[in-house]
Amino acid sequence: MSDLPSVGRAVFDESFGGRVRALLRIRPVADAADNAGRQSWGDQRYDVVTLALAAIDSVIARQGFDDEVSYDEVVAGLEALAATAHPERPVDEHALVARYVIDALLNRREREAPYRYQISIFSRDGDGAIRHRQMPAEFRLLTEHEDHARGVNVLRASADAINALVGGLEFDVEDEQAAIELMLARQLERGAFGQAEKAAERSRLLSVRYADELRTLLADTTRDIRTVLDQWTEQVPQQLERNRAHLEERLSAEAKALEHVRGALDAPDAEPEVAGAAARIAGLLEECRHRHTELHGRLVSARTTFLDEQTRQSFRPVGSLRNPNITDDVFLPLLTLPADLAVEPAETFATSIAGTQVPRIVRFADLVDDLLAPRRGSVIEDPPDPDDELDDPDPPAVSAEVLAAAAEVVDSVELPSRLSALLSAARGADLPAEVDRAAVERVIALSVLWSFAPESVEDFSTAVDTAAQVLGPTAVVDADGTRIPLSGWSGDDLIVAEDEDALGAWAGAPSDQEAS
Amino acid sequence: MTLSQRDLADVGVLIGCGLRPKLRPGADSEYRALLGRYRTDPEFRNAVDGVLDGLDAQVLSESDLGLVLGARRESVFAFRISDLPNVTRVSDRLLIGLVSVAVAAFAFPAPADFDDDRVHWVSVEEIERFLREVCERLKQSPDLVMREEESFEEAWRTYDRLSPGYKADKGKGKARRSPASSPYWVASVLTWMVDQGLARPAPTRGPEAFQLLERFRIQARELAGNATYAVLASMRREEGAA
Repeated sequence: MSDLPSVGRAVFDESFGGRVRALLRIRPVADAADNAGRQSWGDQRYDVVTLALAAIDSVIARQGFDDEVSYDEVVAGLEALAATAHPERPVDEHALVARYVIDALLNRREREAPYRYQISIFSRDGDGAIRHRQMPAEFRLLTEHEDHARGVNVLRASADAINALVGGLEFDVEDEQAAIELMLARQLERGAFGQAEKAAERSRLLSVRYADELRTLLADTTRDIRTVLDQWTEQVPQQLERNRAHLEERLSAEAKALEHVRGALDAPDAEPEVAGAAARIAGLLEECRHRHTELHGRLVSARTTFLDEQTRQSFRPVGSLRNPNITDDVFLPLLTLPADLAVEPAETFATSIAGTQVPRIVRFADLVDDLLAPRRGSVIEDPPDPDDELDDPDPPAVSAEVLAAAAEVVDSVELPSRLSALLSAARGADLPAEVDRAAVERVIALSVLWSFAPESVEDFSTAVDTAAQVLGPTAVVDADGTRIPLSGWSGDDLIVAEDEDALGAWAGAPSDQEAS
Repeated sequence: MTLSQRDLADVGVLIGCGLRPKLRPGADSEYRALLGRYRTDPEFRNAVDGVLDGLDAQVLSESDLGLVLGARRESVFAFRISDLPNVTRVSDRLLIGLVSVAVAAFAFPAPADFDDDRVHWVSVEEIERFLREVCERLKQSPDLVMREEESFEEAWRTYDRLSPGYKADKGKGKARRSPASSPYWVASVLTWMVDQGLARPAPTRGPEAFQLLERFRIQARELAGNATYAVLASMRREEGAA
């Protein structure tokens, strides 16, 4: 190439763009490492690249299973790694680093939009002139999804992320699996355990990708069977059959490999290095086997899914199969409609997106209560003033020691009992030195009084809690007109019982109790 | 085999579960069992669908999320917009509708976006800005001069006329938003969506940020979008005929 002496011919190859695209998949990670310098912890030399790959790996480890990994779990994992790397730094900083890495993989700064890059495609015309055009490349690495069963947000790695990690997998998954297995068996024979471990790792990542392919197919089937009907009639049945046979083969092959590795582990003259690697591989193979077993179950149910969806969707009105075009078919037409005409369709949308509402039947008693109730505050609260939040809550009026002592005194007396008996017990009780005896008496009396006639207090729940703590959660209090005989107190000598039944029993046999 | 008294009671229990949008089958074993039966037992399924049909409601989706129900406007279970706070006038109902559609258009601009179950986030500020930008574009649209000669006022002007309001994070004291401000209506719609199990607050993403839940995607895709389109289309047809 005389006109471009320093550029090889490869740049004009059709596959060149593909290689550039593959290389770009690591760029978000590299950018994140680059931008880390601008963070508050930027000069601490956290290894963002390693943390990012660790994050993707921990996502992949559980992808496709029932317990996919949540955002917070990945953060916790990375926090632990960051803490190990820089134990001298504060915990808050580890959390910041962990979030920074995951947010970068989600592209949270740009509202989770895909990463977009322009790549240059060079080509040669017939007359030798060099042409240049730009092509966009778009992809995501991690995405966030709602776990239907648990309601938490889980993370999934995109095919791009899986491929970038495994390394340019442009060939058939099954063949790759077989190749790795062969390689593994050879390496085990030769005792090349370092290599073998890498191979086992790759095999696991492939299994993940395999599961992902199947999940996509089944998801498409559930969504709208017509989009994948062609696939189902032609490729899919053979593919499933082949996959199933292949999986069964792999399950037994992996069991064999496992046995092989364990053999190496049990050998008396195994070098510690080899034994360590073999143990790790054994763990890895175990996990692979677990994955394959799960995958197998899913594969078995795939055909049933298809048949079920066919039945279900054939009875679904055709209109609802098509995704609506909200912007062009609904939003813009609605905005440009005369206001009085737009009310009807606008309300239709709001009503039908709302789902259901259970009608409330108005009861007269509730209505009166509602009308008399104090006005509720604004539904949309502004965030509280940060200064207010930082203030310590008011110190409790009664110290925890006094409350504990009061509860102990009540425990020591057999209920049902008169208030006077409780107060006498308090006077005679063996109390710790720092607890004020008068305060204990006062707390018992107030709790009993409050349970008998709850007064409106500012902090209602505290009063309930205190009474429950001192007297027990189900305690009830009643009066029968007897006066309190104790000096220093006046009024009714109230009766305290553990619950309603005990109080009833007391009322039934008052003389017995009084005698005792 | 016909359904027994007991089975019919189960039909009622399942529908009752479906009517509580925040109940997840993962947390309730009876719900989970009945949902499984709905998926596998055609007779039971027909009974549930039949009862719901009589109540002017339908099953939009049955997944691990639970039984997602949609109600037609005439249903006893249909949500009444006028139950929302400060919704008294016709223009208030229009605003609730417009903002609801805007939230959907913001999160799912193109039909294919409904196929992606990634988590979607919105905030009061984003929706308000989105609506303002659309209003600006409509103001500058070339057809406007022509249309201004006509006597009616377009729906978007109802929103455009609202005051943009104050910034939520400024000023001390609990200034309440006025219903004459647009953020009031956006916040009102999003809060209402939280009550209906369509969204949940996301305080870690900033003030007044929300996560749109899977239920939102289902309701918008399976019912709201197409139902509204049908109303708009029939209005166009009538106009054409007139």
